[in-house]
Amino acid sequence: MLRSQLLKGTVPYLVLSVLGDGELYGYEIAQRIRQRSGAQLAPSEGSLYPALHSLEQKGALVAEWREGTRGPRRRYYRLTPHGGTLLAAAHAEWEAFSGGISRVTRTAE
Amino acid sequence: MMNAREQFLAEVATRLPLPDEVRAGVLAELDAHLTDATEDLIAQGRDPVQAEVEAVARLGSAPSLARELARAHRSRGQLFAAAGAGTWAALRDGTLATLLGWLFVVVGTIAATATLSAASRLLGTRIDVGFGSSWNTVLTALGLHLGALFSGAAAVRAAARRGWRLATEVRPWVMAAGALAWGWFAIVLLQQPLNWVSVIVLALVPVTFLLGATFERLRRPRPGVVAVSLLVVAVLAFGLTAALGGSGGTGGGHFYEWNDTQHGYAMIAPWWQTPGSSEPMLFASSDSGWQAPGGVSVTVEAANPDSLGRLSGFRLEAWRTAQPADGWHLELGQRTPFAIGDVTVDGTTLSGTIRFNQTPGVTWAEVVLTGVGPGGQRYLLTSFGPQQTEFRGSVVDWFVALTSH
Repeated sequence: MLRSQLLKGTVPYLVLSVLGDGELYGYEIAQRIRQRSGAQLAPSEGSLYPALHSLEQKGALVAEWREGTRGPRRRYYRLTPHGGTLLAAAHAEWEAFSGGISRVTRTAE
Repeated sequence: MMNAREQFLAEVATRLPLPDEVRAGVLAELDAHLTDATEDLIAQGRDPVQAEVEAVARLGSAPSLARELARAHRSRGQLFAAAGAGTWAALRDGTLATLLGWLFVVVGTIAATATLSAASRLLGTRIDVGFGSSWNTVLTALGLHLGALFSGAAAVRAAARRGWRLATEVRPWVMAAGALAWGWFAIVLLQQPLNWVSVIVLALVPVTFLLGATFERLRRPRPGVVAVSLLVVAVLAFGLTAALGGSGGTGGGHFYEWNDTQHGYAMIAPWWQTPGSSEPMLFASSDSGWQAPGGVSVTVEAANPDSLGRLSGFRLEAWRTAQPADGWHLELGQRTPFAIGDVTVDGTTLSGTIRFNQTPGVTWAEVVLTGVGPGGQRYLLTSFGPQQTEFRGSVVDWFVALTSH
């Protein structure tokens, strides 16, 4: 319950983070998040595309249709400079937030 | 029979209010995602059908996904575009449909008039259907109804398309703005000769707009449909007029004579007499009247300067009279005139103007000159005969007048 609520608001940050490694298409992004989190994080695939399109509208991502090595044509996303700035800001914000949470929970122990 | 994937994509498509090319791109992307997800699940050992169902389920509900995707594509600029496109579409389709409505009215009226004229010649008598100008307002309003209907539908369609929103999302705003605009035009701004029927028909114009906005799929008819409809209207007008035949009239003139026995002068005031004398006498040596906007202007030459000096408080008064067909007489039960006009005195000449088209429901008015005698009694001095009239103003004016009379 707590995990799904936390995850809901962090999908754009997770998307920006995995795209920091290079361009990916939607399904790959979902898989990459799952892999990099050690299967701890698996955001709803239904929330992935609205987040991608919203970031694209804000100019954080650009998308391009391209033929894949297998399967159908896919839409690849990559970070723009503005997206890089947003990622840095989101990262700093998350560090501060998670650090604060950690300090509080550590004290509670 | 659609499979789970096709069904899901079709449902997203119908709920995604985006331009065609953007929607196609989104659907292609979701389709590619489902292909990848299904293949992965099959590779993990799922049955192909089950794998597809599971892949679809992982994307969540189609309405929710469509709503979130639509939200992701929204911008404030689209709202302005939606408002502009909706307004333009409403103006364009509203104007065209109103003109089309009036064209129907004109064709119908011409057909009806021609039929009546032919019938009159055949019967050798004048047929008078008593079609006053306030009934023309009803026809005018019917044209407006057609305009309101199509403008409502067009505004919702255009605003939804340009705003990248569903019709259900823009409808309340279009309804509010359009009903206000049409209401302002038809009820407040439009000044026309009115009767109760025209007041009701005009007041219902915004309701017709709401009806059009509710059924946004309603589109302007094609020229062929218009032509056939015009023909039908003409034939119907011919047929109905011929069948009804209008109300017969003799065509003879009515000569009004004020008669205290027949018309009950006591409702107004005692007939003009020289105060203190039992002998009636004429007040005016001559009088003339001519039509003024919404009433008449009159000039009276007093026959007896002496009598003029003994009277004061001159004014023009308008009283309701019966329809010509019922014979000329004042309507019973009146205690006060329904309209009053000021009179100025210059030597022995009295002149004034009275406006009597501001009272709902009055169709004939008797205009008289009155003055107050030495005893404080108001006397009727002379009459200018019956005048045909109709209320002229907006629907709002009509109701304001109703409450003030």
